[in-house]
Amino acid sequence: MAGFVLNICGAPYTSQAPLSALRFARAALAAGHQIQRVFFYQDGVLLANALTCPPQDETHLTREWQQLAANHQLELLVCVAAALRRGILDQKEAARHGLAHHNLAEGFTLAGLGQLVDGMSSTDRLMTFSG
Amino acid sequence: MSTSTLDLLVIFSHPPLTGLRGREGLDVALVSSTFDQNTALLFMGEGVLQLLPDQQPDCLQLKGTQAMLKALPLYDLDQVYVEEAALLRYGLSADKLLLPVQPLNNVELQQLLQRSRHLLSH
Repeated sequence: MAGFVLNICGAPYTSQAPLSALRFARAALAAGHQIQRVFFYQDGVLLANALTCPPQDETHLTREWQQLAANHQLELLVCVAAALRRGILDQKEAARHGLAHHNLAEGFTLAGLGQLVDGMSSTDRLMTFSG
Repeated sequence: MSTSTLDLLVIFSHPPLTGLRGREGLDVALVSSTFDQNTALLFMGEGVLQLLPDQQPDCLQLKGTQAMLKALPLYDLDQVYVEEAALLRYGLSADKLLLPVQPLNNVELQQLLQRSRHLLSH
């Protein structure tokens, strides 16, 4: 059994990264491996946008990640600096920046890059999904 | 070239002022070094252009990464490698870049990758 850290850097829909990572995570979990941490960085943070509304006959990537995380108690960590730049904010950040709205999807948590580095130091299996 | 095992090697292969890749790669490297991880940077291909001195990012209303690059030694990030072939391709010499770097030939590049536990490509 191996423990993986996933680093998802590509945006949903305009890149394959979040979908490939989702399929990888499912396959790894089904084979009895562990996903120690899921980190969203660069354009990958856009997956945490609660306002994403793809057409009904397309995969809702944010929802599918939420379901996988709920079923397997995975932590979905979103780089706060990358998220703020791209307009993904939780309630606390919205208040801090004097904005009326926030849009971080449920199940996702804003976190520092230290969480990615800490995850990397605890595994030999870092998988990056680039855009 | 040092032969110790690296915890993280961040690879830069895109030119400067073409998006956030460079800045976000430097951010990871800085945090990694702050967390006492043995961290190095490698500039290859068009990425070596990030090391050109006298860039004027403000002409494009951009911040650029020169200040961050110059500050690397303050964060104990002194393992900065460049692909020798890329320097040749662009007619650059290692001693005229904006910070001290070590040029590597193809064999040395291979060795660098082999002694790195994790790679992040930016």
